[in-house]
Amino acid sequence: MIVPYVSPSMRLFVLKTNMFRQYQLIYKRLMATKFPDDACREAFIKAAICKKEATRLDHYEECRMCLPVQEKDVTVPDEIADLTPISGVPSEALQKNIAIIQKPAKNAMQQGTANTKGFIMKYPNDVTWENPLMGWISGANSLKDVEIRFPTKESAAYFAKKNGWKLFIPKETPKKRVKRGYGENFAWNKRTRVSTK
Amino acid sequence: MAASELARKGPKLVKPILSIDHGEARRRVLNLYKTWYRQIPYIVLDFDIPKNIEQCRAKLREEFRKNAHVKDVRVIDMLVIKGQMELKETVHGWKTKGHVMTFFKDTQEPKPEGFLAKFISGTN
Repeated sequence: MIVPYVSPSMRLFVLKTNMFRQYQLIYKRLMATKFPDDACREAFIKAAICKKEATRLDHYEECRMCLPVQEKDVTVPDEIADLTPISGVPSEALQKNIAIIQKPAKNAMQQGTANTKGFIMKYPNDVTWENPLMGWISGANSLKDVEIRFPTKESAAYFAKKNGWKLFIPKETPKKRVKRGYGENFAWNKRTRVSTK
Repeated sequence: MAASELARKGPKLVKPILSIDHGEARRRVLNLYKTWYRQIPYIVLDFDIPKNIEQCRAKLREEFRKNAHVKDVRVIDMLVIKGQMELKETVHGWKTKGHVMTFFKDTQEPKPEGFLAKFISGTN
């Protein structure tokens, strides 16, 4: 049997396609077929195999698509779904960090209590160091600036549980409320005018 | 609200992502595994990575095995979708050699073990 000439690029191509039996079959069949010249044969084989490969790669997409999403609902057990495999958070970060859920502190520069409603989930910055030249503070934890707001403590805990965060909820200290009337500003015995006395 | 969700007990009905039961989800997973498995010889050749086909297939197996504990159908579906996206990025060459090699984490330094090693590296 006369072995037809095979160019180096063709050899690599054949090497690639040798992995699969069906490609080998195509190759063998086309090598046995008569062609006007070797270049024509090569082009023909490459085209045939590429076409086959294209259908193979598309096959998966088709399989996914040919099973359309049905309108039917699925039943899942009523426990908090563990989203750690799909959340994209590295497992080292989950092990290293403990999420803290607490009420946001009042702005010390203002009298108002704006932005102190609800709860925030944040991550403590454990290790920091100071730049010797400029005095900038650096830290090794990139999660330190993350603050997620939640309406309730439960919803925050639910989120943390779902995403696999270790959780610490500090005990809330009840806020002391001092009721004062306007008249007390002028009382002689209430010590409300401390700045001028 | 979440609090009421926590209080409720028993199975619940949810919208499916792709599959309506475990059998269907399993089929999708196997389908994805096979497609990756068949693509690996091409990946090794196309990206010219310093790994052979067996090593890549072992890694593929490891990556799938890593999520063997996942039971929720919706999570499985999401993983399948993500896996398919990875495959597509690899096949179409949207990834480069370095991206493919990140699966092997060759350049990642192992974490220091033991007191002395941790002390020297300045971590705890």
